[in-house]
Amino acid sequence: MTHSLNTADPKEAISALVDGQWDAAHYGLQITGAAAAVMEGGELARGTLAGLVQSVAQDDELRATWMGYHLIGEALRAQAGLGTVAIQSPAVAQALAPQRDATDAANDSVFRWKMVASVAAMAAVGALSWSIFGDKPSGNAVLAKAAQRANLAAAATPESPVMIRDPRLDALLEAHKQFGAASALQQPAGFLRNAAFESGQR
Amino acid sequence: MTAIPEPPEIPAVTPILPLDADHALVELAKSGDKNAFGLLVVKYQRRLERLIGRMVRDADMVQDLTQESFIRAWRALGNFRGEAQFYTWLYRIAVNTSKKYLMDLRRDPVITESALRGNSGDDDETSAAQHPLMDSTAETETPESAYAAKEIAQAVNAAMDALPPELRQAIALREVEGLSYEEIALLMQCPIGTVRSRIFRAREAISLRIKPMLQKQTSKRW
Repeated sequence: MTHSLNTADPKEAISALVDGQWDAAHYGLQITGAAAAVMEGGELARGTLAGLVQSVAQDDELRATWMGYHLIGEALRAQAGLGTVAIQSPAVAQALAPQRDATDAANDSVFRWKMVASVAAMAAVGALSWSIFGDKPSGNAVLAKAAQRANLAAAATPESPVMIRDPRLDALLEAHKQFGAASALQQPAGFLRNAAFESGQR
Repeated sequence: MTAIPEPPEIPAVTPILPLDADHALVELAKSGDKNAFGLLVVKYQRRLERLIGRMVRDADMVQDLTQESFIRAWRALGNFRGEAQFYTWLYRIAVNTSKKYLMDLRRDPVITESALRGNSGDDDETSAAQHPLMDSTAETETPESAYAAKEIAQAVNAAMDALPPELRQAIALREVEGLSYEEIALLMQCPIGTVRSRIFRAREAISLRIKPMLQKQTSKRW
């Protein structure tokens, strides 16, 4: 049985194989002799596939082509957010997500920041109410924290540059400040920071 | 009442093998064709290295365990019944191989040959501890591989930007949306042969850009 690839460019056959769209009739080998008469359907398809696989295995360039085609697919899927290598290209983004509205993408960060601001404001109101009606000794520390959050949120208005904030980083900084105030006295010392605030109430 | 338009005629297609190219290669490999298995190795080697790298911190062991996983898969190929995707089955083997290595490491820091030999016996192709399609790469790449991946991604982006729109759309629908040639043909209202040709031409154009980077990465381990 003689096998020779019936296509000008075996890379086209490789491209189809990558997609699982191996078409024996299109890429069929020139199978000579009696074998051609008895082979049909799946058997012929498998025979031509074996020939292509053999060609790829024996040729460095075809093997690199097989690998390259898969790398291209991986890179494109990663770009689409199905992986982690994400380098934005406007043309690719348009090709991959034609339904996405560009204005939505532009407003996303502002909307997100508005959400943060409103949540922080609610937290500030809640803390203020608690300190007024709850009569807790640490109410001032809580109020100071909530006010700080509200100030941070208010600072990030749409007019001011939008700063990307990581909530985990914020929590870490908050914890650091809280314990940092205690380092000298070995106890929470939020009242020291608020001394000027408190003195006005006496 | 307005007439309902006729749907576009589905182009006639010649019989083709199933959409999952892995099954065709697996069937060939099962019949003893090592070259077919070799193509699967080339296809999945990087993914497996990333997966194993998530579990095993020793970078030197990652490649060894990857090769060990492929060897185990080759030996157990007769057990693969095709009920699940080939990669799901391969994923399970790689996870078991890595777990075994880690368990042996805890028991004895010096890993002997006998510790690496052995049969886990639970390479169930239909079960997986984690969905194989969700493997992320960010925390497992070495600096060199991360840089290489970024280089390739940038080159792919630049090449996609330069493609004619119909080629760009065809390859995006295939690679990202996972549509078949028939579906793409319906969507783009062109024959399947045109879809096949466009995707091939897109890949060739992109390959030209990434070829220099690929030459560093072409593996001949198998």
